[in-house]
Amino acid sequence: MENISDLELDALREIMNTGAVHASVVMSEMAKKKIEITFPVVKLCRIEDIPSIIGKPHEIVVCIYLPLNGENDGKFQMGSLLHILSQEGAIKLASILQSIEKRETFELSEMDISALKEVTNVMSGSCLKAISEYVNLKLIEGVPHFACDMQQSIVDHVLVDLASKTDKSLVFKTLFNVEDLNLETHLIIVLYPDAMKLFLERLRSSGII
Amino acid sequence: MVKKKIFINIGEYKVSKEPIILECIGLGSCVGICLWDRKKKIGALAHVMLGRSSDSHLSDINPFRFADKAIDAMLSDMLALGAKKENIVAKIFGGGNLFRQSGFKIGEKNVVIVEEELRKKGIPIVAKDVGGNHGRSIWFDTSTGKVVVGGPFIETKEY
Repeated sequence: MENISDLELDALREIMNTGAVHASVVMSEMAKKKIEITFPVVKLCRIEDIPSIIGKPHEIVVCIYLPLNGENDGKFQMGSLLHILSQEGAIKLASILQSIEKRETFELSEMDISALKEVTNVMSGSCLKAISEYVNLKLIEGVPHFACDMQQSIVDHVLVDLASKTDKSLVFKTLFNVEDLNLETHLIIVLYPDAMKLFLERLRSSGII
Repeated sequence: MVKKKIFINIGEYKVSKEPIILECIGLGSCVGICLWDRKKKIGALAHVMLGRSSDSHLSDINPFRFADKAIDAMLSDMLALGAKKENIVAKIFGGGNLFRQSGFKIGEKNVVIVEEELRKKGIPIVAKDVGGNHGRSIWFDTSTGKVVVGGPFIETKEY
């Protein structure tokens, strides 16, 4: 993983912010609620530190994971996207997406999981499209996967590929807050080293940095 | 007497000849490898992400992410503290798949390689709690050799 300057880091953050804004617009449309987002935190960090950067590694979370593919006919994995929320948050979000006002159980049903996968899919599609256009780089979201368990134990699956390739990776984290509901979700994007190189190349060649 | 507890994060390992509790939290596809010299009561725990380091050639990568390097290091440190190879046994935990669709075979693969590496070194595996679809945390008491395994979605057990 090459070293990255502050200027480059800032440029990547701006791009991720653009992606996150687009993602929040579609989430807002689907949930029919106002969504506020924070400006992304970006860190170049050791793979071992990623669960701590994401936050609360030992707490139970719901996580929808999508691989991010790109160049070479979409076969080249560029990174991973994680949509992470608390169990309570997942129930709230799944309910509003399905317009369920009164719930009988507080366990996630197959329909709930489907709704969460769908919103994550749509959010990442919108986010990646915005980023691809900005940087002139092909980015496509893969199939979503669901897990509910301690955050660290879920995230370690996603880090395994990276663990053999690089000491550090670039991690972006944006907080999405759903108005009225005291519901927070995090969108995390982890970039693979080759993807980061490509991003920076395209940024330089497009004159953004 | 309350024993001191030491947390082992991903890519770390620790060896102790003092009676302490070695702890790993949130083993998903990762494997927690416990080694114990029954006579000298010297214990070691590694939290590994992958099986073999020969999969990668970069020198700036933490070698203890890999089971083969971690096992070598634990054994070397244990022997330096006075442990004897013929008295050492292993207990292994983790290697699950927490995503409901398959396609995530990494946990399984990790367990296979960990077992192979221990077999190569002549260390018998006397207990294991691996695979499945849930995360595990483990607490290894180096004075008794016992390991407690628990997690939010699994029954607590002692090995």
